[in-house]
Amino acid sequence: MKNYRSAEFAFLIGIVVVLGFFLILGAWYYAYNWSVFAFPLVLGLLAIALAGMRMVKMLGAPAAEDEADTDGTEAPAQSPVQSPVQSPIAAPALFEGAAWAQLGWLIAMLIVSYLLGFLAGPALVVAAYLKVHRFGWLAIVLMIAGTLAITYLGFTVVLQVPLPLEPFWSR
Amino acid sequence: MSDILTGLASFGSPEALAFMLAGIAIGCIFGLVPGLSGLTAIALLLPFVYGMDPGVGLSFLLATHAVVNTGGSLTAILVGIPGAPSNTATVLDGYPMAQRGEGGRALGAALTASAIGGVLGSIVLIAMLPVLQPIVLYFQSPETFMIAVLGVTFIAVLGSQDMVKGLLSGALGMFLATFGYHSVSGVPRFWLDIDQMLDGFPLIPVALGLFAIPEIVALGQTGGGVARRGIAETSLRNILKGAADAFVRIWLVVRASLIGVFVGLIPGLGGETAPWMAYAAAKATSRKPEEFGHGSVEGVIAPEACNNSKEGGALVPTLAFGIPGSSAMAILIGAFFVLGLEAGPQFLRNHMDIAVHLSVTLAVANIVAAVLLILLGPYLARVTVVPGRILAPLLMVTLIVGTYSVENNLAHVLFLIIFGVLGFLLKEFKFNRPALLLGFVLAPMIETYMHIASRAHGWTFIFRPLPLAILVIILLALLWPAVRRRRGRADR
Repeated sequence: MKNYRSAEFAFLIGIVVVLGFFLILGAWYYAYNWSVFAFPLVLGLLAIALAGMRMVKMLGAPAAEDEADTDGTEAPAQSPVQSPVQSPIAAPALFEGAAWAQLGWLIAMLIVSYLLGFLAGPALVVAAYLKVHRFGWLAIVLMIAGTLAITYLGFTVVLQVPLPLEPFWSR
Repeated sequence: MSDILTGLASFGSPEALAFMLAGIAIGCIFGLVPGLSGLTAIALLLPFVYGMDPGVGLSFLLATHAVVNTGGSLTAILVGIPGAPSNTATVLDGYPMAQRGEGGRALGAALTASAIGGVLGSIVLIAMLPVLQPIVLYFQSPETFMIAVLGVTFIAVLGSQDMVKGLLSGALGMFLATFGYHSVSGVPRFWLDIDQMLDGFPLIPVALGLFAIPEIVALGQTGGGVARRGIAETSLRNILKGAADAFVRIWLVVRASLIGVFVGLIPGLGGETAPWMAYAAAKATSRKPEEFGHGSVEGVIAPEACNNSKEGGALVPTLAFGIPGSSAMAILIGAFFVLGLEAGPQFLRNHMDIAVHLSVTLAVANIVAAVLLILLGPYLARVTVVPGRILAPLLMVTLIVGTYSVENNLAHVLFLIIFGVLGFLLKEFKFNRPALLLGFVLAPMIETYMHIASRAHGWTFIFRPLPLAILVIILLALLWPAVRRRRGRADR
């Protein structure tokens, strides 16, 4: 829990740094006039102030107070009736390599699609994904067919999207 | 009257019907797979509606979202795992019924209650639209500005336990929306001298990154099939018996549906709250409360009727004022902008026909989904044994190719990943993602109307009667967490 709170603290500092960077950029590098800059300035300063308030609260409050919160896609914890049934999908994944690996696969799909195009790229990454997760060859072949069905049949033939099927760099 | 006829004609067009049916099929599948919510479905489909007729596109998304709960009830009953978070209450009595061989009856009762609830929700919506239309005609730029601020405040404050986190999410979303060309002066803001940043962050990668990627990451983490238990057997005869149960207890269905509509009407209250409220009310008024939790058919009917009716309620503030009644409605408001429409009072003033189209879609989609699942449900439930790691890469492909295809721009895929990482962190640290998206969507509208209002009326526009009343509501919403805390302490 301590690590989790430290990570959230670092996340808040990150938000403050990014917002501060853009506000400084707007004020000095781009030197926007007041009518252009006022709205983002107010919002940026408000967000920085709120992040500061959250950090101050974190330093003073016990960890348990944060546990009951939600990310806004579920009911707040103080709902009239509480759910005794747990969701089958585990929520905390911040320190699990598997969660970051999934994001890594997404980035890999972007890079390989750039290198090989939208026909071979996604199919290759899907095959590698399944191989790494120890699926059999039959599942891999079926999934490659499924991927090609999505990219070629779904997008190119049915939706008539002009997807770059050849490598991006060769265009 | 002409709006109603135009809306009905638009609903009846072959294109609209085809997309609605496609939406129902997709929504049912998303409902069946635990971990894939209606929110993810609506976010994933956002790129596909780009360029569609607005009525057809919105109806496609709404049909998909509206039936996710219906699909989710199936796995809640037959496998004991809620397909969508809002189906959790159904597990309590649905799964015990399935375990003692009454799975078909529970399924029939749940699906019938869902259909009736969905229809009742849309009836309330249809009844309220003509009442709200003259009210929104009164709205000018000051009122529209204030109502948009109210929308962000409501979802930020009421959707989070921690008000500071909610407001920070909303402010961050609004700040991110200021990147790119300023709508009034045309000056590009914070563009880092990169051409792809001149138009700012596009909505589709932002919405997909915030909502779809974190769910796909969670799905990819589940090694085997989400459902590791057996799937209970059902028969059509038992399903029809359950359907009869729902009709016999029609007042329970109506009462639970009205609870759903009421909760849906209040922005930010949370869709997952409503079924539990209906469940508690059903138990309190039941002649056999001791059976609840052990396989009571009333414990299945109440949450399912409520689940589907709340979408009708949630659409009322969404369509009339641009204030999303739920987090999925925040993405739907994003879809308005993708389709070239403006959410809020302007929408009901200019597009009553689309509002009618959406209301009818909600009713019909719920009925079609129930019939479809009564016939095919037990077979479709087998999708829950498909491992998450099979579904995750396919969804990644759809996500990346879908995002690219909107404007054939690879930079958008890069934005998708950046916002995906942000969405993952926000989810982990329990920041309010819907508030961030709504702030992002409404910020340009807020800035533009603030500019117009201040030019036309001076800064005293805030003291006009309606803006002042909305300001008071905003202040009350900001005070609400303190009241909630004080009540909590008093209860303890």
